[in-house]
Amino acid sequence: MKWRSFFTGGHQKGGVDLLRTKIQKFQSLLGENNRVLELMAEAEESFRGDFLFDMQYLRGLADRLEESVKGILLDLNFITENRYLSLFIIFEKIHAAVNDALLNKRNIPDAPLAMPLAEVDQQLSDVVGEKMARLGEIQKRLPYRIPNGFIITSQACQRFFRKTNIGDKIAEMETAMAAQKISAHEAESQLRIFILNEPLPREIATQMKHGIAGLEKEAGGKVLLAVRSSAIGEDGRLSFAGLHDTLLGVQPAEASRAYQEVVASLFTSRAITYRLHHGEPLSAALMAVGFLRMIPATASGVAYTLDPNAPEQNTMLVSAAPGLGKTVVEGKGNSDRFIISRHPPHQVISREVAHKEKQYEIPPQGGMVLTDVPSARAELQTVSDDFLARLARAALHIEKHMKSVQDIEWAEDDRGELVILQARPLRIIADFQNITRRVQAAVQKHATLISGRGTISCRGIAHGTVVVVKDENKLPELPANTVLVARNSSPKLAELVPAANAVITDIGAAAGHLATITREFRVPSIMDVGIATQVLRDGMEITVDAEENIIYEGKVEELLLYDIVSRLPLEDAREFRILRRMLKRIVPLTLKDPQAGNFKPQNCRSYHDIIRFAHEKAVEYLLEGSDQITTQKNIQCKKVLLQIPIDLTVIDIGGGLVPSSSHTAQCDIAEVNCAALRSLLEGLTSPGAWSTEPAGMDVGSFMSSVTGPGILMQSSVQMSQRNLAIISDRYLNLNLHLGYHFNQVDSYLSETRNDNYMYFRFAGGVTDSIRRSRRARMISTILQKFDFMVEIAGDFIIARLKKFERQALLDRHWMLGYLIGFTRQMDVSMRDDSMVEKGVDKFMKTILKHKTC
Amino acid sequence: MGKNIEVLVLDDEAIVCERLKEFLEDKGLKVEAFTESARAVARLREKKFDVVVTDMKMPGPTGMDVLKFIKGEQPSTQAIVITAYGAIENFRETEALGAYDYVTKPFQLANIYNLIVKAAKHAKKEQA
Repeated sequence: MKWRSFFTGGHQKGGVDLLRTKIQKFQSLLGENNRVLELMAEAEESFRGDFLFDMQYLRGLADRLEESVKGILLDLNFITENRYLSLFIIFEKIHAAVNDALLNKRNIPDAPLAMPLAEVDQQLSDVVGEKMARLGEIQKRLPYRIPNGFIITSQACQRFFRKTNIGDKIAEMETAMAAQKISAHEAESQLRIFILNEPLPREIATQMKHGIAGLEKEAGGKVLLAVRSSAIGEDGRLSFAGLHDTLLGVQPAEASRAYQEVVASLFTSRAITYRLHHGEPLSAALMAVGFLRMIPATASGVAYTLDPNAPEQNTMLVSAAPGLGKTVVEGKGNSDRFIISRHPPHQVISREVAHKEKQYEIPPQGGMVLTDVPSARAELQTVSDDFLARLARAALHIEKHMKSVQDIEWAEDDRGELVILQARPLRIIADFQNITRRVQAAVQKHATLISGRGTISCRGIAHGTVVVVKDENKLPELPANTVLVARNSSPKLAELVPAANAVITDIGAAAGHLATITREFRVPSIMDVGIATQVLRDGMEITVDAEENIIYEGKVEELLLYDIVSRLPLEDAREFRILRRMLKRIVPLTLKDPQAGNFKPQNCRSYHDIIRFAHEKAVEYLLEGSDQITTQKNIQCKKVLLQIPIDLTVIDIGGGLVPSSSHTAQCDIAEVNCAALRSLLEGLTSPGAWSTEPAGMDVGSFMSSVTGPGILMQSSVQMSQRNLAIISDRYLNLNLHLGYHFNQVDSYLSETRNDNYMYFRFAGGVTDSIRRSRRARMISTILQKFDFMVEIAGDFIIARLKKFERQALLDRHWMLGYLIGFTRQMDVSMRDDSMVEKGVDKFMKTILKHKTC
Repeated sequence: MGKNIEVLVLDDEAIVCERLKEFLEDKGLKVEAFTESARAVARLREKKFDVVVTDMKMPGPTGMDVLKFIKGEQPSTQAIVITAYGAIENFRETEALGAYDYVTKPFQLANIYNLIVKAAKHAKKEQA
């Protein structure tokens, strides 16, 4: 039976009952929809760093999301009579991916089998391993040299395991170990033999050959390689430092063998024990392998950016020896030790120059040999003070970029140049009570400029010179050590974030786009401070404590020291990494525009996509169904007569319309008893809100509108789209398509403040995406002025407000109605970024004349 | 403000113990943290704390057992219970056993700190 016949068939009563059930299902869908949005917001908020959660929470989060999204799909399929059963299959896929993330199973992203080191950064750690990702990050973002090379990725390792029987063998060993049938040593020897004897898949060997050929072309001849392990999943909490192999001086002909050796070192007995102790399944272990050109090192060593033996001294510790760094790393042969100041010009504070007898060298035919240090060099300081100062500068720069104390392997090449070979976080065991006391004493000496205002959006401590952004359209070049201060949290500022030491804004939300970017780059930030641009002036030197939410005048050294030793970045904790991976399958929204060609079930990539799609389709079906009935039993369907060209049908599910209007098919605003809808419509139809002037459209935006996916040109006043509101005396769900964009309001207003809420979602537009996103920014700024928590992604806005008094929410419905009318065609006029602020000013001036919210 | 407040943290998940201990110690509190409830109970037999922050669901003695122990042996010690979402019913039970308050994961570090300070004041008053 076609769904329509439920409404049109002979069984009118049955049709009405079914419609009532469908509306109930729609309400249930909306309830679950809001629950999912809240869970997503809560989970994202947890990233702010001042929240604490654990695996139990993550499991609960996954369960609650599963339950709600499944509920939405059941409701949707009831409403649409099983039209979207295929969504269940998509749901299962996403659900499986979320669960894999939860179980710390890695969904290795689609990636090539090999990648040049020059193209990687920290974002790619799941593909190239932590070690190579950090090295790539240094080359990409900082002005220091690293060896040239390429990486055989985790994707390749996965393929190697799957194409051979290695994957099965690992699982077998894991089971046997769990049953205590074999020891870690036995597992190691069996897996090692297995991995070394399996043939390497041809495509991996080919990629390796290509990579090496590229290095040889660059070098103009034969090269020798350092083949370095870069396990997936090493991090601050779980550091596999020293557990896996690195082979030096490898001949290209030996590259395949070296690759398999390094991969096999995933399963040394030490590594196995370490993994199992930390609850990391062996079957999830993957290795990316770096093939780097050997550096002709005359000297090498290790630099700790903070001396772990005396962190409170605020000095660096550097070890250096002739030849390869293996001497220093393994502690074989003597090396020089230097204590160096962390302050420019980085003077050597103390030095121990050792008698160095042995050094590792690479002979031309490859391999590595231990040779005597030439006697003339044995007693000499291995590197010059000038080189040490250069090394110190670079190391501290890396520390600042990585946001934690670093353990750096370095080399000096035959031309005296510094080369960074590796950088990883160094955990410092510090006397915190002592440090805390010193911090407390130190901050007393500095004036507090701002304290306890706004919201911390990325924790941390930073120091720098204030640069106030006056015009978002003329972004300044940021000098080094800048604290960025701005009035608005404009996404436009995002490009300055990586170069800033900290970000402070007067207006903005911790969940906003700019705040997200600061977290991504781990730049300490405080949003919504209110008075930052008044108090902080260009050129002021300040220290931002985005742990305690205090801004001090000057540089508080002790606080900065405290920051780098106090903790490894929380974001590196296993739970955070798991949550981050889970969210990748939950939050990103692909299906933004219901009019677009990609708005199809098969294009849902996340839970967010599913709920967005389900909501849109449920509304569409209810609207069509409502055509067929007017007033039956307790449900009334009526068209609201408005002075503006909007076709609005309301379905009243209880007390949403005044009883006297119950015998006609139409009603006017005065007959709407749902106070939220009435306020919103009054705002929308009030003088000035609904512009009937045709918007001036230039050629660019016109072309964009006609070439945009699935968008048809319409007259600015003739609205053929139909709109639906489901109302009761306290509840409003309004779905409004105005020309090319979509507004959704979902609210509940009662005398019980704690139950009250208001959601607003906005998307779409006729012009190009830049203009649409400008309009979205304008709307977002306005909504924030009315206390909404706003999330914005491109031109898509989600705004929410909870636990406000009924009257305050009614005022905001009026404002929202006005705003919907006011911004109806505004994307067309958003010619440049200055229009955002102008639009905000114009709106605020106009609305203040009408009403005070 | 946190001077002389002694806190025992018990949660079988290391991240909660580590982070909470670190955060509270930074604030000047004296903190001992345990991931095994049996060891925490053993420590409670030896030493009296102002506040105990405990998870509910754990292998071995549960949060409820710990709570019963405290209220039996050291009634002035105040307990703050960490619950999972939706486990409010459990909290009603814990409240009946005299828990001071509860937090639900995920919780804000600053909030639990304020709660601990309040609970400690209460504990000191009861001790007096």
